Amino acid sequence: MIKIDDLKKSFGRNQILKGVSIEVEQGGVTVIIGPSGSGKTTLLRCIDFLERADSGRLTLGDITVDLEKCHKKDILAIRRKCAFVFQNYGLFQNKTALENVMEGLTVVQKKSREEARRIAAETLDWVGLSDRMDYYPVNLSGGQQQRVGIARAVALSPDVILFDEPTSALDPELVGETLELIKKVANRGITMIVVTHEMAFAQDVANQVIFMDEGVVVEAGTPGEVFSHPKNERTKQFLARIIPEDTIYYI
Amino acid sequence: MDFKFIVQMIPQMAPALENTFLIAVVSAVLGWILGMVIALIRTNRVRVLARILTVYVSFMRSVPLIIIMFFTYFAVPTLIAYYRVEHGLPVENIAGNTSLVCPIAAMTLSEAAFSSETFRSALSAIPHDQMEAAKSVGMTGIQAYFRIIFPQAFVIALPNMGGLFIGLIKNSSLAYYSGVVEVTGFAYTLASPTYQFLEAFFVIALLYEALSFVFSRLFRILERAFGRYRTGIVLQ
Ligand SMILES: Nc1ncnc2c1ncn2[C@@H]1O[C@H](COP(=O)(O)OP(=O)(O)OP(=O)(O)O)[C@@H](O)[C@H]1O
Ligand SMILES: [Mg+2]
Repeated sequence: MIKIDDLKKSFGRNQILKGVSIEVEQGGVTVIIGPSGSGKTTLLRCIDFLERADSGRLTLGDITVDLEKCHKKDILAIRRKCAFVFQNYGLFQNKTALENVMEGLTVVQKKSREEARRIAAETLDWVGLSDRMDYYPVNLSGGQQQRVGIARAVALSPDVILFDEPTSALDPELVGETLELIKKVANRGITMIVVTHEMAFAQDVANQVIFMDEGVVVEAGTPGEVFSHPKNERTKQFLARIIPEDTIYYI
Repeated sequence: MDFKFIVQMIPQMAPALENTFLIAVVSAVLGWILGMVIALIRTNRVRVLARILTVYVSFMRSVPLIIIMFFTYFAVPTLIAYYRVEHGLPVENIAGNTSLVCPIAAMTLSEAAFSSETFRSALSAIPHDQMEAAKSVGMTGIQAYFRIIFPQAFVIALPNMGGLFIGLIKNSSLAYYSGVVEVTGFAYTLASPTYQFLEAFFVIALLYEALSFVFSRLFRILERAFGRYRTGIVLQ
């Protein structure tokens, strides 16, 4: 289970997150939607300490930390329970696909090279890249790179995987297959928080949808509740803008 | 041209060439390690230290190397001698020391400053997402630097490091002023009695040219070997 309590974050004088609280159940898929600039990326980055929150509490499994004053050791412990899938893939440029997946297993989890290699090869095979293991990122297409990024996250067997718009840098024809893969990850029972603009995916895979706007959680609920019966006026307006009238009730 | 002189000169050059190499290689290794440390401190904005190092780098880059050499060869030993006599400091007297220590110290200090700029720009050329990705898989800062950042920065810095190394070989000729007989000093000493400077300097000019050629080749090979990931040749 992952729980965020009253998280606040400012950049200079701009308060970007104004007290965000969310809860994600074990094995659940939470999708965060919201207009551009609402703080979705910042929230994910604060969870993985890529950005330092100003205040709030974070519970991940058996660790609870005060975000305002937590130590290096806690940060490392939380990071090792999280994995991150980046919008622009974030692959290690000096490592092959296989090495990208192995890196965390050997360096962080201290697994033997043989075991790491076995896990990495299995995971790359699972994402459909068994023929690209020895390629460097420069030689992989965007879709393939994101598959490696997803394999790298899954291979670490983290408590939660954070996805930040994993398909928005991809060519349209690659979006579908990448979403299929993320669905496959969800089916493995891994807890996930996914920021995305793909509403059909949210409908299909999420068991919780969170709508954020201007640094607060405006509405949270099941996809049915948020998409079909939004309570808040801002949610309604956002959905009306992003989903064409006639598709919303059919998906 | 006296070719007999040239033919006799070449085999005698070995010890001088060894000194040239020793000075260049040791100053490169020490200077680059220090330069890397300076670059890291400055890119990570470690407050007071970063300021001090900024001044140090700009100072070393503007003062002629020969002055830094005079400093390590004349001024430092004089200071040491003074403190030995006046305050009974238990240090060795190094005045008139003609070993490689003084020129290497000077060139290391200067090389640290010059190379730190090369390393700093190499470090800043690595996209931020590399560090973030490393952190996201749970690496510590040190692991991230050694596994991900340094290997990439190294490849970017290599062409400049090749240039710096060739510069060190050339600058090692200044060690002559601190009594070290390296290639230039050797040629000068050998030519003096008979005034055969033309022959002597012609030979060592060719020698410097050859060294420069060999090392720029070597650095290009290194760059290609370590930079395979950039061109994306598939390992099979
Ligand atoms: N490092 C930073 N420094 C200053 N401001 C920042 C920084 N990162 C983000 N912001 C600001 O925080 C706000 C929220 O950004 P964030 O990236 O979290 O939005 P988002 O909801 O992910 O948007 P999008 O859907 O476009 O990705 C934006 O107004 C942005 O300008
Ligand atoms: Mg974003």
